[in-house]
Amino acid sequence: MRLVIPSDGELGDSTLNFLSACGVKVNRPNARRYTGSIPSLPGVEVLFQRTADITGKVEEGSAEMGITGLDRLIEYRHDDGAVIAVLDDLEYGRCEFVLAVPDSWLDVTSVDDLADLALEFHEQGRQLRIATKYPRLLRGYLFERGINFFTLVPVSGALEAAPAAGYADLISDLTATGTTLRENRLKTLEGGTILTSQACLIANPAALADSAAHLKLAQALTETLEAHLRAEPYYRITANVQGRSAEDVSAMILARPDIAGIRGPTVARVFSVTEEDWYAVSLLVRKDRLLDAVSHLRECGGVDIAAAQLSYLFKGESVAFRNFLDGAAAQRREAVNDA
Amino acid sequence: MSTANVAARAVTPVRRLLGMRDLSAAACQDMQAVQRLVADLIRRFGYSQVEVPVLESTELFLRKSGGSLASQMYSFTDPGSNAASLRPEFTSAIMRRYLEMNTGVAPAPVARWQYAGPVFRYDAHDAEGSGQFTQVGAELVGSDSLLADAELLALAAGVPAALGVDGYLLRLADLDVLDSVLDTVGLSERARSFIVANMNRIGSDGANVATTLNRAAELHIVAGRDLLDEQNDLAGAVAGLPDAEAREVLAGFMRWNGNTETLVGQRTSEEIVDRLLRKLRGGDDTGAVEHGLTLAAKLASVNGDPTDAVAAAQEIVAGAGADPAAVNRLAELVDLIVEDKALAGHVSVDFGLARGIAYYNGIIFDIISKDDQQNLGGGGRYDALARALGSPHSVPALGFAYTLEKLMAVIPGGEGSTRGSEAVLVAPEGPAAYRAALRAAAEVRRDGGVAVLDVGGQPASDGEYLRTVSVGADGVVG
Repeated sequence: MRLVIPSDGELGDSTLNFLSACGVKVNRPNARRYTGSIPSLPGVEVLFQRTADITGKVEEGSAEMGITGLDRLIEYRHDDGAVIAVLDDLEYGRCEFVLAVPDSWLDVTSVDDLADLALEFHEQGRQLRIATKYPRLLRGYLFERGINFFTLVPVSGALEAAPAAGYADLISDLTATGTTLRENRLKTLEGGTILTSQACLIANPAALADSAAHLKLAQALTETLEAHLRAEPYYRITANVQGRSAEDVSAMILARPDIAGIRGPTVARVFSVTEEDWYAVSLLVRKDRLLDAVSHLRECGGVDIAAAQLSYLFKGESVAFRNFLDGAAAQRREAVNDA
Repeated sequence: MSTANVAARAVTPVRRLLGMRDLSAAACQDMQAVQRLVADLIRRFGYSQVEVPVLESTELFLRKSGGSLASQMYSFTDPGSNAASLRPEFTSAIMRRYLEMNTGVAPAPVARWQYAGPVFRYDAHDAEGSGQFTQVGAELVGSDSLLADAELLALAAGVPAALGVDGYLLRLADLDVLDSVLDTVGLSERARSFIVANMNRIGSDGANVATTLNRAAELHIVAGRDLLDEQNDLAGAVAGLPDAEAREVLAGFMRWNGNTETLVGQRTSEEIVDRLLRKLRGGDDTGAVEHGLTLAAKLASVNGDPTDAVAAAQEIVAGAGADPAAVNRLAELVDLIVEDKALAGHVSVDFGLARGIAYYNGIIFDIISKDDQQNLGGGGRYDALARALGSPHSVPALGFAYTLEKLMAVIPGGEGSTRGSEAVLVAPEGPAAYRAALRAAAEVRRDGGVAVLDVGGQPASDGEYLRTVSVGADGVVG
């Protein structure tokens, strides 16, 4: 199975780091090679491509799965649904696709203002010119808000400079922090966030369906990433607590159900040479509750308290993969009906 | 790389685009038959068939629809760097053609034109309603006569009946009547077009007046939307000042803020100040807009038998103290068309339909199937379109169009297309007989028949033949 990932830009290094953190480290023999492998998932071939090309590669089937930005998936994929997002939020590469107008437009603070302005322009025989990299996303967004009169100026380079350079009135661009916009004396609009984007895992269901082995690898990869993302917010805490019985110890801990683990604590006898009434307690808590949980364990008489990062948290089945299979099946049915 | 290897590589099959459909030979025949029937009906009213381009400048359609079709158009930049669109409708191209033919001709001549052909509308969320459709329609350009309205309505309403369809309804409304009522309220052009554009939102439910009024506030048509803190301060600074002084204050604020040094794009500081002032002052009077919305809602609830509905509309017009000219004209029109017994039960008046479509005025109508309320077609008067397309004078015009695919769906099954084959199969007995077979086939065709050469293989499913002629090297053998 071929997995295509970004070789450049924002998502290049962060994708390698993310996969590595998920325990599926990519092995790239040298930086000039455009292929690599994942030793922990034999059978997966990793292809490196420009971020902008990844949706297309998965769509045409030259890779069965890929990692790219949600923005690029939505902008570039065809309407036949050949590519779908299996995991639409890998929790990195976060950015916003926004509308930004010149600071000097004191009268324009919201998208409704922009709608009004577009009409005013049209009545005067002018067109509002908007510079953007993503004409499809932007057009869909504007049309939905009843903004029909505008001209898109396709720009691939430094978009923020387009208004100052005089070939656009406003821009629509990706921003992570808004600093570049501010430096160019542009401001965002109330209701002007077109899309909140991040890295996502995509797949071509038809291409995957060709081989049971590929499907199995796709499931393994999806489950691994999903379980890692699910584990991310938790620590596993272990402690030794003295008590009369396992029931007593668990009752003490459960007095604070919000920090007593997902389904409650696991309590087990500690076989000690000197004392007989020690129990090992193990539970999962959200990271922001760590200190709360530690002090609660202390109050329960806990010692040897240890907290560890959780690597994976699996459910009964992979929700994402189940959704993917269901989606793919629905698509096949549609195709049959269509024919 | 050997050719064998290249051939072995599986190539992704090329598929149809969303909303693009193939037609079978039988469906094609049916469609052409219906198209001929409709064209013939329209022809008998004196409308001649014309053709206009499938591809036109995007601006043409944008101006006609006031932008509302923009999201559905197949638009792209053509090889000559022009913004071009596949036509989403015919009317604007028909008017463009009329204006090109008649520049400087006064008075404007009367043209009766009909057309049929593909139109294109894209909707990614609705594969059924997306893609290529066939429109048939007629336009009557150059007359503002009541008789022109009556002729076109009778013609439009007669189309489904001519195809044997009974379950349909033409719903008629009049935008001039709505206008006359709104004239009684002092409204800005902007507030007025907002009300007309939102007739479908207002509907007949009075509760919608409040939500529509909220929307008006959001768009700064009336005051009510919260301003940003900074703008609240500005609003306070210009409160009670005459407009000229208020503009000075705002212009001063812009300069002080350093905004005038960073002016970019097409907007001047005067424009920004003007719009800012309008926004800070909150546009139209809320009470006036609410009154306008309430009157519009009253009118929108008028619906039913044409004669009764027009009487109800006359009452509303009188109650509002509006000019009765428009509603009286509508009454006359309804009086003329209810004469036609063939249209009885197929025409209603429904003011809820009087939604604003740029450049439409006077009558506006749609035709729906009674069973499933499917829109089959529609039309209306659009006297202002000519000016929007750059004509120095307005040109009275009206027209209608049906979507052929929608009409086909409601025609009772098994309409009279001839499916039986008239083709003769000419079968050569081996290559030596090819020359004789070609000759035999030519002979059949000369006599007005259809000759099909047997080129081997299985005949397609709809290939049935009247008879088979076997041909040997020396001529026909059976």
